[in-house]
Amino acid sequence: MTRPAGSTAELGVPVNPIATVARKEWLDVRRDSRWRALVVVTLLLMLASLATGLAQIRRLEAEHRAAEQGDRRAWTAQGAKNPHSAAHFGQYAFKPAGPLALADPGVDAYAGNAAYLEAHKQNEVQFRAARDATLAARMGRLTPAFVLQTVMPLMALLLGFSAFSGEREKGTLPQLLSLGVRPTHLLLGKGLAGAGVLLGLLALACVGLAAGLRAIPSGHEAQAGDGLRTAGLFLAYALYLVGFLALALAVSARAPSSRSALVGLLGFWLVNTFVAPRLATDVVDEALPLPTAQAFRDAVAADKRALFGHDETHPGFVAFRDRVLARYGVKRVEDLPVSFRGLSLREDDEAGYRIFDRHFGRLEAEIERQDALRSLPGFLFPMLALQPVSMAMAGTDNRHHHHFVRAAEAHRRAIQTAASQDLIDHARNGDESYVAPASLWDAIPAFHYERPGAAWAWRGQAANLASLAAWSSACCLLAWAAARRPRLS
Amino acid sequence: MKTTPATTLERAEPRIDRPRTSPFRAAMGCEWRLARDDFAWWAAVALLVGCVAYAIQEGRARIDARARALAEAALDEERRLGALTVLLGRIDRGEEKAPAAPYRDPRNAIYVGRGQGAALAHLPDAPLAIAAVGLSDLYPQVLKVSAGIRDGFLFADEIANPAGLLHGGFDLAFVLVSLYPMLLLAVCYNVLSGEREQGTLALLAASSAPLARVLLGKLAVRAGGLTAAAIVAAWVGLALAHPSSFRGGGLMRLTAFTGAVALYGAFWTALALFVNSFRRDSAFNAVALVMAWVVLLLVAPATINAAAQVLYPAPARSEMIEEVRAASVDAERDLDAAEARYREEHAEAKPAGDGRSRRTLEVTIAADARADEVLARQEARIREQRALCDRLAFLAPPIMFHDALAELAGNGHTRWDDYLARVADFHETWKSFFVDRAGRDARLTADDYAHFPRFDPDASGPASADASARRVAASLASIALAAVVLFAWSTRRLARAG
Repeated sequence: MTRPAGSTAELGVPVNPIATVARKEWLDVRRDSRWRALVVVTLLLMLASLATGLAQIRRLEAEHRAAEQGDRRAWTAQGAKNPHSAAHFGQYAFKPAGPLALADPGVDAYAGNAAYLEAHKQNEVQFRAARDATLAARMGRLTPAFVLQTVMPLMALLLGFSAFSGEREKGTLPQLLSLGVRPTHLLLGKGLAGAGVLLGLLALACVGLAAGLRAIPSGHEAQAGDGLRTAGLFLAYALYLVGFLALALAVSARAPSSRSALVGLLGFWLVNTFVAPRLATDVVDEALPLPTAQAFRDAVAADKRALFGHDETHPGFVAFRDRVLARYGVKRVEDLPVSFRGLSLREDDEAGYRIFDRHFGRLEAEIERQDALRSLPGFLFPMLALQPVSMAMAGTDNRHHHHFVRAAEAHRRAIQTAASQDLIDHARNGDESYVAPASLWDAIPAFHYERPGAAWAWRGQAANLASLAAWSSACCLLAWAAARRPRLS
Repeated sequence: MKTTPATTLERAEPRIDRPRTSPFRAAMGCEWRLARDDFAWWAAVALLVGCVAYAIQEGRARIDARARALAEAALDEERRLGALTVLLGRIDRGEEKAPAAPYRDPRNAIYVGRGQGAALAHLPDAPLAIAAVGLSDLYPQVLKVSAGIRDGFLFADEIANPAGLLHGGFDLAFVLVSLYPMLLLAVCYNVLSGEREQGTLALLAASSAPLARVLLGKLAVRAGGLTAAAIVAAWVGLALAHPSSFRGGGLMRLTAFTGAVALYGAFWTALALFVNSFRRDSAFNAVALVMAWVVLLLVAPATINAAAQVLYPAPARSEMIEEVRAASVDAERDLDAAEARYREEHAEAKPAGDGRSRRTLEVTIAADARADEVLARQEARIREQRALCDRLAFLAPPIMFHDALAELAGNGHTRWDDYLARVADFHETWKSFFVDRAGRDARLTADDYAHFPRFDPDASGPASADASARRVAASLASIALAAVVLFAWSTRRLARAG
């Protein structure tokens, strides 16, 4: 398959030492049964993760469709009813599983998937799927992201840890150098071969992902942005894996032995992959603690005490009534040309929106600040930068979840406005028996969620992508510097 | 400890004359002398002790945060009930008119039971809760049990960053399940290959001592020292940071915890010996053992979980929402029809009682019955998934160990299942209390307030403790069996190879 180094030189054809080294390394990988086994196992893991992910997504899609239809049925089956009663009955907003959750399901299982949209109240998203899983599920989930984040860097380390030290221990490094091969040529050749293996596997994963996306009979049709999002995934993982390979080559060039290189690199892999994310979670929780549910609800309730709700003795209610009467130039509510109940509900709702925006907005901002702080050391421990990018491109991070929450809340407000407007327009003051026709429920649309575009996801991850690029570049520079003066004995 | 190696060596020297001298003890003595000067070994011990100490400190912080959340909820309950009883007293004494809206009336049984009066239920931390987060971060720390539908309070989650839940915290279970075996492998991976690479294997082979026993002696020091350090650090850390870990059955749990750590360490040590018995070089051993770690700790749990998800998918909670809402619509429609009939037949009569409260009561009863049905069905499906996982988990000792630690910490499935079942029972009691009174149109009195049912957090039955103990025993037995099989197999391979 490959020509021995030097044979072409004898024929007068110039030898490209980088290509020769790369070909030799590639041949080694192909010939070594351990590597073949490792590649096959990795591919099988990817395949299995895609297959189970696909089954999962299809099931979630079907459940989501059924849930939407069921909720619509319940909403439209209310019959003639007071619109405010219907607003209390409310609707549910179900969060769809985006197709790219196939690559990385992210926080979806921990964030809940249904928001109850009822009158007067913005509810938190409920039903964390993780609660229904087993304890073993906390140890890891078989997803393409898991394979790429934990198994593949290990492969990168195994490809590179003995690149220089192994040659030195076999006594071939001085021989190679004495032939005029520069150490940096060795680095580039070995790096190219290793990167070829890693990026080839990554490309296969992306092809598998694309095939998986096509196999999802989606009610949430694949968006144009999915290609850009997949490109983001490829870029982030490529930076991550190349960085690991470069780090392994750097350590191999300077470590006293292959054994010490391996031990050091495995230590870094362990810390980066398992220790740093957990430590970051604890540090972030202590540095930027979130309120307890009780404290949060108490704070909302305290602000809502200023609103009158249904309390007609509340000073706010009396003041609003006086303002309305003055505006219409009448003395009694009964003389108003529109329903005062409808007006007061709308007024109370709008004041409530400002309170919910303030509290939920603050909570979301705190969570996103936690995420930003967690990923801050990503230039040292790239897993901390990679995970947010991976989840963001897959549409399964906290930011996407908050986008869903805001969309659901906007729909809740649309329902409240429609219900109050119907009262304002059609109910008569003093008549408590007013009911809206069943056709009103049909006229109020069902919740439909549109995922944000790929550009929105990219914009939110600029800092993390920069961290990954910085880490990867630093590792490459380190490898270059180490390879220029490799340890020879 | 320091005198042991010298004593062993003194005994080991005349070994040929005294065949009863144990090669195992002699090897331990020599290895201890080597380990004393081995920076890497001490670094591994220090790292493990540091991780254990940090994890215990984090566990303490977690428990304190839970206690704060519980105190906030208890204060809220006190305020709510206080406000209701004060208002009730004023109404009873004629100092204040009863509110026009029934949902503000402290005498209205169905609205008080559904909302303002809701009772707290919580699962107290077990003595060893500091050791493992388990399921405790996924479930609400406090449930507000109301006379409404069970799903209304059962799924009211605590506020948490979902990304934090996904990654998990740095708890003692994580240190022991994941880091401890990696450090064990780091000190044991070259127990035989290292001898060969240093050129000392020939000396060992030349002696009359069986190779396996010598290696076991070496492993007893390398791995045993690390295990002892982890156990001592855990005991000391718990004594300093959380002395209540030793009270209320805590000592027994700690003893089981110690046994579990020792057995789990023995399993990984046996695995290191097994890989060494193939007589490959240290680099091969290191890679093979890291791969074994990856497979057992990452791939196996992920695969088992994926298989369980595919074969027994978790129920869609949206099914419950749909059925409960359909039940509400049906109940309202039935009530409308009944009211319409009543009006037709008694045109002159006013409907008896408070119509809004009666409607709420009827809808609650109908929806709750449907919710209970669906929840029972869904819980059965979750149990099927778990049963499959439990069966497959025997293939992966780390899963068994993790499960055992969570059970010992009181944060495993057994204790939480028991708690949720008790909450379901309490919900029935609570609901009956209010629904009975509402059904009779009876108003709540001060005496009723004094006799509201209370949830007893400590009423866990012995059946739950027994089930948990059985689960832990099964986990530990499976780990012990795996360790024994690996040790026996390795010893045989070493003996056969000469």
